[in-house]
Amino acid sequence: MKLNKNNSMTDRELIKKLNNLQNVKPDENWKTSHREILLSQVRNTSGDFHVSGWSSFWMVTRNVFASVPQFAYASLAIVLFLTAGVFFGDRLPVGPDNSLYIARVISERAKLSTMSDGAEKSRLTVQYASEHAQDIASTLSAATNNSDKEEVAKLNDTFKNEIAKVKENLPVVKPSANTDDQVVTIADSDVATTGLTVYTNDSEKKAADVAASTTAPVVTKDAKTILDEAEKLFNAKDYSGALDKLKEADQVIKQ
Amino acid sequence: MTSRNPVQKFKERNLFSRLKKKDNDAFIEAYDLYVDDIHRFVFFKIGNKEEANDLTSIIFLKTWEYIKNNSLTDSRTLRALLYKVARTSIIDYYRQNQSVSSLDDENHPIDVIDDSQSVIEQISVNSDLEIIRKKLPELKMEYREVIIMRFINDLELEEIAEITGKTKGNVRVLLFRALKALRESIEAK
Repeated sequence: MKLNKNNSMTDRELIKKLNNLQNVKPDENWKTSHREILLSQVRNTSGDFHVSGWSSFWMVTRNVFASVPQFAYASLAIVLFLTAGVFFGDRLPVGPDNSLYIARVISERAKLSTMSDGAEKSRLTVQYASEHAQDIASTLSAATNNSDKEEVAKLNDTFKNEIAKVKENLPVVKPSANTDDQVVTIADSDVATTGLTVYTNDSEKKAADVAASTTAPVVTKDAKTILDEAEKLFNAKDYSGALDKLKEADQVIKQ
Repeated sequence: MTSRNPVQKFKERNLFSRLKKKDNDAFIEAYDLYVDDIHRFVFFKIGNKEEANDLTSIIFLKTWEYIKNNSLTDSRTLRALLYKVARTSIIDYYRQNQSVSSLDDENHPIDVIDDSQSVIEQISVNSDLEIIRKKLPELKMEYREVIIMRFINDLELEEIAEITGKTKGNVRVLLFRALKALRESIEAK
């Protein structure tokens, strides 16, 4: 048996030698003949064996779960969590003061990075940035004097970045045009009361469409003005006022 | 040391579940799966090939009788059950034969069967085997037993603990001492 320099064998070497003894096996002829004897004895002494399909399925499922190591479950759970986070994280109703907020931001970024449609990407960027700004304003409005000043300063910076992001992407975002489904034919008298526009023929509708397309920059400009006001209110630490303005801007952008 | 992969574990668990329902085909599959291990365990404990053959036959029959008449709730794995039956069978064997031959028995050389091995590897294995053959019987019975189960037959600590009725910590200590004793015995030759 191999010995090391000190003329002594390590445990590892000894274990390896012991492992080699796994090659000691019974004679194949004995195994086969004994198997036959055992088979006949077992067959003679056993009753009817029957397992239903459902119980067989349950047995296999249970054994699969029992055989898989726990780290495999942990890995699967992490993968599922990350996948769910990427797909549904942007819908998490959490603010910057929540530990899941980072998951939401990562999910939003992942979603944006997979988008190829530039206009849609800008629309979503505006939506996310606007939501972030609203969340920050909401969080700061609930903050007390004892709140972490460093954290507040950080949120202030983030707010400004988010507002800048909204403004930057606003020109790309087009307001949604009226579709034919939304055009309702009603009596003239109803126009004043309902506020709905009634087109009596195609030329009028086309003219209205042209007018709608020319009003698009105005909507963008309005949103910008409201955002400026929101920013001013935010700087003046009127967080509730800023939040209201942001919601108003959000409504204008969504029109 | 090679540990069993999840597929093997699943196969063994499934076999055990089928045996709980008294499936005789599952028992034959279990025989095919474990006969080498059980035979090796018996052989290294009693050191006689013919006796090991007979005892292995008895162990499998006793296990089937046990499976037929019990709900198998007292064993967590089929391997553990087989080793428990093997241990009690060996104790019975020693009681009945006070003057049993040991691993030193020159009249019963050990057959090493592995066609895939080269001649050099075969010589090496035979040489190792020769030393173990001489030194293993010098160890205390409980040392010899844990060495066979852990290092030769690759049982997990939990299984050895269940078979021997000891805690995992006790088994670990026992293994450490057994290995030390075997090493000292080999180095003292």
